[in-house]
Amino acid sequence: MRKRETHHQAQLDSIPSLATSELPRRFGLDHHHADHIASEVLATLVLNRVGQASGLTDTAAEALIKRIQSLVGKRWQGMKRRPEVLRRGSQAFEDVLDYVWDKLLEEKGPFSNAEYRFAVFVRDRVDDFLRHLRAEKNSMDSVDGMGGDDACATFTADDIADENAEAPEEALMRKQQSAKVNQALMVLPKRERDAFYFREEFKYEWAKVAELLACSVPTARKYRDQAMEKLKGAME
Amino acid sequence: MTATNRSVAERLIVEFLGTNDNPTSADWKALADKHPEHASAFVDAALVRAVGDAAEASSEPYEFDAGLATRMVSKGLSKMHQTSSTQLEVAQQRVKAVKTPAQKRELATKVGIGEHVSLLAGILVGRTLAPRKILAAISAALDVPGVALREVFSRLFEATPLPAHKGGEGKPIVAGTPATWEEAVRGLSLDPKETARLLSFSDKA
Repeated sequence: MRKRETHHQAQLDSIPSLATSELPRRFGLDHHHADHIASEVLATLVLNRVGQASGLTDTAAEALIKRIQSLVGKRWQGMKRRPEVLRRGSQAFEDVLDYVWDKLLEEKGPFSNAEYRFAVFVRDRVDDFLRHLRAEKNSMDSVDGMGGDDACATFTADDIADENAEAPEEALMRKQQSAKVNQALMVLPKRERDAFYFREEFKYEWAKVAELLACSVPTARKYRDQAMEKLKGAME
Repeated sequence: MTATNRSVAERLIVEFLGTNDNPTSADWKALADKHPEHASAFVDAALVRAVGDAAEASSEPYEFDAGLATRMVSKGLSKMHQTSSTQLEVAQQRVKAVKTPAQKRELATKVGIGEHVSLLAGILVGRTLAPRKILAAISAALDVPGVALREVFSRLFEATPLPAHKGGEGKPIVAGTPATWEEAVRGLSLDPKETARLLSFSDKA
């Protein structure tokens, strides 16, 4: 069993001695206040339904749901342009909040130690949710995505040698890797995104990029170039 | 990507993120080298993580939507009330499993109470408040969180049936709150040395 951090344990132990009127105030404080009750402690109260009869669990749950909204809201700002998020509109945000809460209620392990912080739990669940959304979209797009015009074209060693040379443009692009680029990458068609990422981020040789994309080197190169063009447009 | 492939990729990603809290491109690449058939899923996961982290680190504030919060709280509380607490259920089962006198004796010895099984029995039904040291020892022995145990004991006390009163005179004495550890220890009228030893577990000690 993971051991709870001592300051969280001390907060947990102090809960019964806090006045009922004091609890909602302290639960409602955010982490900037010295007096705030840690989210790990609130989660523990909720998961163990501590003081359910007296309404303590509900008070803790209310504060925790609001904190989840703040944590997810901040992270979500980077995801708004993802096509699958755009398609769902504001419902997507409500869905992710629901998802995080459901997963919390299913949680079996105790929170609150160095390796398992509440914010880390929320971050990981948001990312899980987004990957699931993406996977749903990809399965719908797979028919469009697989139909390369020369997907089975052959390629030669000369192609590979030429294509592996790094152009100044590529070096410049590498330096421009940033959150903005990543955000723009997320809205690209899957093959363009992958071609770019395999080549520019993983630094794979063109032959490897082509192999992973199951296409020829020229096609892989074409996807990467298309990605470059779109990224440049997005960065302007 | 088929559903099976997707679930394999997802499992690999979850395992990978479980061991790499802040993965670098080199880490993702190493994963893709190992499982090239899922490289595309890894790219997506890497982007999700990178973009999310960048958004969290950005100075752009999230404007809290109070209306949405009200709706989510209402929905969230309703879900919570409809589901049971796994941790609490496990704790309840483990406490209930300590049934026989032999099991109680063994646990009492393990947690440091020694031969005074009635003290442990009082704790296990919520009649006696367990001091933190004893609670921690029971928690370790039963492998359940202390907070869950405390809640179980508290609920057991609340659920204790009132004894029937058939006497013709006087009124029955029913404790409204559990006895403190000190009260329970002193109630045993043990020799001073053993009393002192048991009182050393007290939160006030």
